[in-house]
Amino acid sequence: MADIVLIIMVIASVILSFAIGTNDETFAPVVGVKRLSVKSAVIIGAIIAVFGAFLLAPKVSDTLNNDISTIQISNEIVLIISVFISMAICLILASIFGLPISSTEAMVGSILGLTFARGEKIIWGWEGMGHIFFTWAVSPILGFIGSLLLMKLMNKILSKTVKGLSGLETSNAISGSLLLIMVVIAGFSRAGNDISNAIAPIYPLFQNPEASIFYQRIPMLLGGVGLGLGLIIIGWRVLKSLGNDVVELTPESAFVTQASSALITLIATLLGIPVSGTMILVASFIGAGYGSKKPINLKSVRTIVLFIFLTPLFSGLCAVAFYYLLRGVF
Amino acid sequence: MVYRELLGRRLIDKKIERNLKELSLIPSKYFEALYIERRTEIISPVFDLLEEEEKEKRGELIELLKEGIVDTKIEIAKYGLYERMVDVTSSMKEVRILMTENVERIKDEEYKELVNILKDVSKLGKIMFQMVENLYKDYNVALEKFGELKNSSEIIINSITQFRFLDDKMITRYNLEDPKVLISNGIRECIQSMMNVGEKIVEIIEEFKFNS
Repeated sequence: MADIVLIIMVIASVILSFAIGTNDETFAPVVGVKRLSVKSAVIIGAIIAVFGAFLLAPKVSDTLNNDISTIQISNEIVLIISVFISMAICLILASIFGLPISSTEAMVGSILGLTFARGEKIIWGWEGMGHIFFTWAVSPILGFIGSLLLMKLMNKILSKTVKGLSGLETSNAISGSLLLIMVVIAGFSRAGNDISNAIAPIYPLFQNPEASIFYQRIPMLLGGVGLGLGLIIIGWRVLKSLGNDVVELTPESAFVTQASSALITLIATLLGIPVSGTMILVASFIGAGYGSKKPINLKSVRTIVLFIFLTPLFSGLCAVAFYYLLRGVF
Repeated sequence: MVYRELLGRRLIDKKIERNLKELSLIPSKYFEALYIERRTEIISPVFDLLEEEEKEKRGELIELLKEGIVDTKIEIAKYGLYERMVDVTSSMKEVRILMTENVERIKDEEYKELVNILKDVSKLGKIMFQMVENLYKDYNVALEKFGELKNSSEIIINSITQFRFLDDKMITRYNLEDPKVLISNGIRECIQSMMNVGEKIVEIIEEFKFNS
């Protein structure tokens, strides 16, 4: 019975990882400036996702598994499946429409919904939800300010150094290369951060001190593969829409966008704080666009922000619905 | 494919730059040769060479622009510049055809006057080339050259407008069957297309110049 539970949970984790992959917008700036085609971007993104999840996911998994709720969700398969299905539905639906939403938000929303429905206690303090709300509120602000200041600084330097089109093309080439380095860093850190959502409940099941490190990290590897496949099969829609619709990107502003969001996400991941990469990246897009005086598509921004707020609510309701439905089955 | 996307772009940019500069120099050389040919009445082989070079550059540029990523703003701008340069080279060849076709029908004095204008158009072509060169090198110099291009164009066009006459209703008109009008219209069209190149360069500078 324990083996069947393990298999079901692993499958559910891979499906959720796939859903997260469908909504991974890390490569959007590279696609936006046409530095890479969508096809190349999703292939490189998939490879990075596998390595990033394998190397960086464990740290965040510990935080999520222990701090949010008193419910020990890893002990109840129905709960886990409800959370995973609701998250996967939210993410895949949004991806089909090309909208980037936060997987962390979807997961927290699902857990909160179930906690409410079951009448369990929610930890609102700094040790639980307070911590998460704080990082959600602060991350976009830091993303916006960071990218705005970086963009202003970059414009100042470039206006003094770039005299002609040849200089501009050299600047574009350098920014494009730096952008790719930043994308790799962001891909690693985001894979670590986002895959931890999918594998957090099954992660403890593989933590046998007598087993090899590779065995202990099987959940991360599976999560990375699922994420990569999601990116390849559906994720290109989000890359295209965020890369092209929110703000007009130049290689310089795309580099600034990526640099500020990658640094903030990486620092948060290393500190074990589950941040929303989506919020940071969207805020960085706006900050860089504002700093480079490019028109910002407020309609797209409003739709993304609206979905950021609606995601926890929708995923919470979905999780509760599936919980009661599945409880009848099991 | 990924390698080409990551590393091949700059090489393509450099080749496009070289070809655009070389293509922009052809009209100046062409009008210089046309001026010498018409002054000396010795048929010059330079035209075949220049037309061959122009064809070659156009072919290379279109291939390079296809290899590049043509949906970025900068590539679209370069393509627009290329198209306007092609207009110049097409109209310069038209001027030579018109001069050859109408040489017997035009008065000597008027013909000489038009031949002298060719020298000025050649200088105008040189300014256009300097604009293209400085588009890549120094925006400010390119903008200065645009001022020169504009002033020189106006002077040449004013010298062409003397072929106008007043009709019965005292409205200024051109006799479009008059050979001198046909040739001068060809020259004016070429000057206008050079101005279009200049305006496109100014547009590119305004769009891509960094402002602190």
